[in-house]
Amino acid sequence: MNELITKLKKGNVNILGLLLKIILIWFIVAFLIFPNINLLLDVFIKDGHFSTEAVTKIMKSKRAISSLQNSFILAFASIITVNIAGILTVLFTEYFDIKGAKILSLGFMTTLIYSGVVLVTGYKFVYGKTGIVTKVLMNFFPNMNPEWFVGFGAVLFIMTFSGTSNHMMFLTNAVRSLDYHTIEAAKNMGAPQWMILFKIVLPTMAPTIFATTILTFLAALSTMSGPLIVGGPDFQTINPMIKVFAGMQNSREIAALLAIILGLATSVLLIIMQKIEKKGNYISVSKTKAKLVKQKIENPVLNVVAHIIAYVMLIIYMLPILNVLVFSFTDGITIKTGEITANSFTLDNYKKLFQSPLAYKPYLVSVVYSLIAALLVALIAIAVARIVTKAKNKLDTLLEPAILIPWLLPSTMIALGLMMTYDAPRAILGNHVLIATPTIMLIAYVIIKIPFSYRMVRAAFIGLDGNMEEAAKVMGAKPFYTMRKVILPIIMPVVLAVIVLNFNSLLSEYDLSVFLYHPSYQPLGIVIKLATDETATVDAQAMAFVYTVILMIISTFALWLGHYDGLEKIKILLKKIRKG
Amino acid sequence: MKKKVTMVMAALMASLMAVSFVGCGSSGNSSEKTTGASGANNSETICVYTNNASDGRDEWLINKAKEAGFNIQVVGLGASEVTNRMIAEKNNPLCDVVFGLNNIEYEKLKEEDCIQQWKPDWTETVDQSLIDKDGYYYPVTTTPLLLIGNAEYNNMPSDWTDLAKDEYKGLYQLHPLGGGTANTVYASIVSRYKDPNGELGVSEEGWEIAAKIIGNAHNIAEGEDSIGEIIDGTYPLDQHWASGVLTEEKTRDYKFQIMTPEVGVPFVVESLAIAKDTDKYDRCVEFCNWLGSADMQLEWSDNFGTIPCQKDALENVGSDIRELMGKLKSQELDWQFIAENVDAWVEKAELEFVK
Repeated sequence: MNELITKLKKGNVNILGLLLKIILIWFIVAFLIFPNINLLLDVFIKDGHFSTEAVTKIMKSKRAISSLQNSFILAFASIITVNIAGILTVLFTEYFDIKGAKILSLGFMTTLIYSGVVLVTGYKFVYGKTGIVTKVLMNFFPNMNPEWFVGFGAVLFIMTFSGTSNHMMFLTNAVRSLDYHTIEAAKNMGAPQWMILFKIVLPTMAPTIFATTILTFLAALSTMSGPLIVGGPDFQTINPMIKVFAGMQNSREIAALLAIILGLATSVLLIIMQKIEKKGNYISVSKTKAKLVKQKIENPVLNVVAHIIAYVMLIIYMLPILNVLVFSFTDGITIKTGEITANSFTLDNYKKLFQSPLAYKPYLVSVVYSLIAALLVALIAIAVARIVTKAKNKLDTLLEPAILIPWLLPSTMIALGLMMTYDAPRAILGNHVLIATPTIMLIAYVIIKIPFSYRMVRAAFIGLDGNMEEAAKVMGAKPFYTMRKVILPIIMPVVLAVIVLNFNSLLSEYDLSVFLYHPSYQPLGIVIKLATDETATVDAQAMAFVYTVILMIISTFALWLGHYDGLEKIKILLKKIRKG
Repeated sequence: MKKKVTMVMAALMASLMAVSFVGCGSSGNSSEKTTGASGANNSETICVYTNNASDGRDEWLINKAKEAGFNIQVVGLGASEVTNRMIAEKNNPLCDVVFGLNNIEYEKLKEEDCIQQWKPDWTETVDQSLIDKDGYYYPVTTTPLLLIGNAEYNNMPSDWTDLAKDEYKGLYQLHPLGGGTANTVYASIVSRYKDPNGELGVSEEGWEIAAKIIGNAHNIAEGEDSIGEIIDGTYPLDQHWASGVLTEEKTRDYKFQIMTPEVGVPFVVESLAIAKDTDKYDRCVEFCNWLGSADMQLEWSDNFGTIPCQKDALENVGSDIRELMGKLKSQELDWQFIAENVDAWVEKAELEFVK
């Protein structure tokens, strides 16, 4: 403290930086720590005593134990399969010279624009009882079980090919920023192609692969729709159970305990990853990076094999989404049964959507909320990643575990924590009540997206070349100037990718919204969920597909803006228009 | 330029802080909560929480209400979510009227002190036995919960408890216990075995039967075509709500077998209640009088296939509804006992019985 005061007197302290830190710490305490602790205390303390009843209940439950096991099996298996599929998609589209790489890239990108129930249903349309793949297979193996797409294999298959979004967004950036000089140098020294791939290319991608590994693990642990729809009786996972208990007032301790078990496992993985990450040196050495030239696979056999794998993967990626598109033009009963006949097709679903004067509003609400949240999250993630990677004292490094807290709790619990804490005036918020205001949902959206965003931005910061920053400093640039002129431009692709991904996934958010949304601002996730509710009519369920298709269009546009230089293109267009 | 950017950076960061203050400024003070929270200029806007909002019902209701002179806002959620949300919002409630929930949920709201006593002007024309004896909630529509079967299936059970027999193992489908249908049917079975000394108020025999029924079922997955699987014989039996059975029969041009136990089937009654802390009590009563009236309920039924509690309305609904209702009898259930225990029962089932 004294040190700080003397520093302050000398004018050595960056006031703005300090202010930023104070705001961040306030935010973390007010929204990440306080509400969650409040909730956990409320859940575990019964009649003034700490209750361990939940532990006995879970231990007694065969279903809970086997579901937990399944969740971990799925998580570890998908780390392997998703990373293989994800690295392949990136190598095929960015590194190797594969014919039609642009089309491949577009196909692999489809996982970014749809998810959840509709995605899994899409896979069921393709591989299920009435699916096209099953029908083709039946021609060759007439004795096979038409309901073969059930259980662990099916769930893992869907996880694998729907879980590569992060690879497509972040590994692509990593490959693009490879320094081609190093590859050329290795080539000149006679290194074979596989050696270059494994000794140069993959290691520079390592920080990003670590990050995507953690994300894959988390996604698999918390997956809902996959096991619920195609898991069958033998492969159910824990998250659906957590959700049921989190929604029941007196069973929340079980939900909390299960979530904490998953959280602990995640923490262990995080710590291991961090340790590995610290050992390595992932900074590319060259100061004048040369643009990557796509590598033709020299071995003709391997080249053909690579092409075949790439296009088979494209088919796997495209079939479900094409099915979803086709089925959105059919009536409800067709969607239910999955059997298309000549009479199935109708435009009624779309007509219904566009006829209703109220129909556009949820889209507007969700777009505005998601956009603001995505931007705020990006700012917080940059600020924290910056402070942590430059950490000089203990307090700074403590920011990191604090900011990852939302990963440890299911979103239902986060929503409940906010509701239970800010339903009364609290000093930390200047005695304002948050519940039943439009703000609370925005804050919740920000909270759940912080860990992911921070993790990705931090990976980008670690890959940064410290010398550039030093050079800027030596030349007299102030920290914020360096940040803006040197660091931000380099990490911008990652930041934009984070914003786009957050925006897209928040568009149809349900778990938080259901508790927190304000009646005047009903978000899309609620509308979709109501349409697919078990008591909804068959026709209402067809609407879920239409909503999703419209969502896909919005998401594609966001992707184009953030990832395909759409912003630049619009700027150029505007300039042209202004010039006449 | 430098300064500007640094300022912008800090300002944006601070904006989150600001947003959380400004955003709730109008509603922070609980004495003026309703005007602020509803966000509308018209302080007479009634905020309706309901699980009956899907399928365009919300929009239809808003327009109908407007014609009748009521400005309403509809918050559509699942049944248990409505209850959870109202309980969580207790200190700063948004809700004025809550409708469509079943007795279990209303009993919880009563227990948590979220709804208040009132009396509509149409109590005379509905079945008196369906009215809450404490006068908190009043019936609007009813949904019998049925076990339906494939038309050719020749071993229809005669009561829910028959499903515990091994011969039915893997032949019937149950919905997830989190939803209203499965939840109520399960409670209706378990509560038959009331035993003050038993675990959670239920005798050992009751738990054995419940374990069998839940454990031997095929659990319906999200998006699964359960009705199609009855018709094609994969799982010939399925639990379903009455109005849904009628619409499915129409859409698929099929006639199901319907189980009619001697004790009757659970009738879920969807009721209407007024939130405890509303500052528009009189207006809410007027609105509820209108919403629960026979004319309005007949129109609601004609549009969405519901089964009205108003006797006049029920006489004029579609013939298919009348025919079905003629066959069914309401099972007598101890709703208070159920409401007090159902969550613990479901917890037990989810942990120990569900496979």
